[in-house]
Amino acid sequence: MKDEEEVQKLIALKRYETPGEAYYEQFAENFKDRQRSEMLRHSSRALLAERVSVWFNEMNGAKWLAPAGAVAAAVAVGVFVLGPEENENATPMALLAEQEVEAASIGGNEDFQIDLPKPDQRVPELKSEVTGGANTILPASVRGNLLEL
Amino acid sequence: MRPMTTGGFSIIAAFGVAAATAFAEDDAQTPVMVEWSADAVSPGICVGKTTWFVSVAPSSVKADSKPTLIAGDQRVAAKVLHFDSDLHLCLLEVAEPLADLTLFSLAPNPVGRAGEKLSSLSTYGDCRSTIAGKDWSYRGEPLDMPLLRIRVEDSEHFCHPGTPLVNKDGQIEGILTDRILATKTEAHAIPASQIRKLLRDMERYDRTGKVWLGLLLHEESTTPEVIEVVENSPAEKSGFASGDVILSLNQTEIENLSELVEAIHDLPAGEKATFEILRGLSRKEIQVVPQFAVSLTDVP
Repeated sequence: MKDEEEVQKLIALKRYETPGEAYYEQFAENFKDRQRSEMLRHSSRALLAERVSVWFNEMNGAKWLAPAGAVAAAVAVGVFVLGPEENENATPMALLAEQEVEAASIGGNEDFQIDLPKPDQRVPELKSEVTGGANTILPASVRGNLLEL
Repeated sequence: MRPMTTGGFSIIAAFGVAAATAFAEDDAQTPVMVEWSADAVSPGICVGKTTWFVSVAPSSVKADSKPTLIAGDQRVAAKVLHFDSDLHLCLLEVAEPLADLTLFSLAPNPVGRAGEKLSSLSTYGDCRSTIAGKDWSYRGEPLDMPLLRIRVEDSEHFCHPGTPLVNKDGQIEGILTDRILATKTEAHAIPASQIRKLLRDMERYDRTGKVWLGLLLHEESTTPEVIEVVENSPAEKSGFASGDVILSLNQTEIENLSELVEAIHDLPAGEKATFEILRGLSRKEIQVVPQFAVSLTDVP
């Protein structure tokens, strides 16, 4: 009988608390943060195209811009095609300097990586986010952190 | 706890030598003195082996120091086997056991019940103290291990790093640290359970550190219930399953998650630990051998 009571107490203790008010308050902030990070992931080219198209739309049918745009595009192509050729007489040091500048500019656009522990290297007390659902014993509504011991 | 001034060090050193001199004639438990440098000394206690001494060095002491043990008229060079960079808990070894030395014993687990009366074995004599509780963090700063918060009668004269705290049975409950607390009459102490872990780890592996079982628990739950078991972990190999509720560890009842975390912190690596769990409606016993955890500094 005593054992049964103890078991009932333990089962009662097993109930998880629902997220507190702080969780719901923070939800909106987290959502906005994610939205911002999504926006930042767009490429600069897509953003430029989007802004140009918005600008044209805002011009509200200014048709005179079309020939001006075409002329500007033609000038840009001309400059690109008929531009100065590579200097074949450049010194090796100058070429090397150019390559370094290029390498630096490429390096600046690279995504930097953070070395995280490999999956087979367990770091205790490293907290990982958890979501309740079919694959865990947690009810679907439960969110929070797991503590690894 | 206040930092010692040079004058304070001299006085403590003088009292230390005097106490150590009296030690040989008196059977009472008196710590030896560990002389780290001319102006840095701390009490040390002989535990585990007759050649091993545990102390907490003052914060000014560096890990590569070469300490000398003073007991009576004996002055013996000691080797530093372990030096904790955070709390300066250290294990020292001498080549031969010192004469007329008694081993201190450590209080059994669990240690540190709030309200328990203790005595600080200072070189000035005994000082009444009481355990006020256990701190996992202090003023927003998380601690590496839970520390005993001790209320003392006179922290200015009696609380110096390394001072052992004994219970009514003469067993060590903790050793005072050099941490400075906001309240003058309070001090932090390293619990005996951590000293025991240090000794056992050092005996077996010549190193110490946190252990890992591979149990995942929900941080916001007070019930110590296993949510997931990490693949290929000691816990999985021992038969733990998700949904198991941990009832006790090594015959010590576990009532909540904090107690479980602390009990696992105190486990020596490579030593079988017995868990009593609730699976479904029945109780079950599981034995696990914890292994040293990979710390973030170990990850390449």
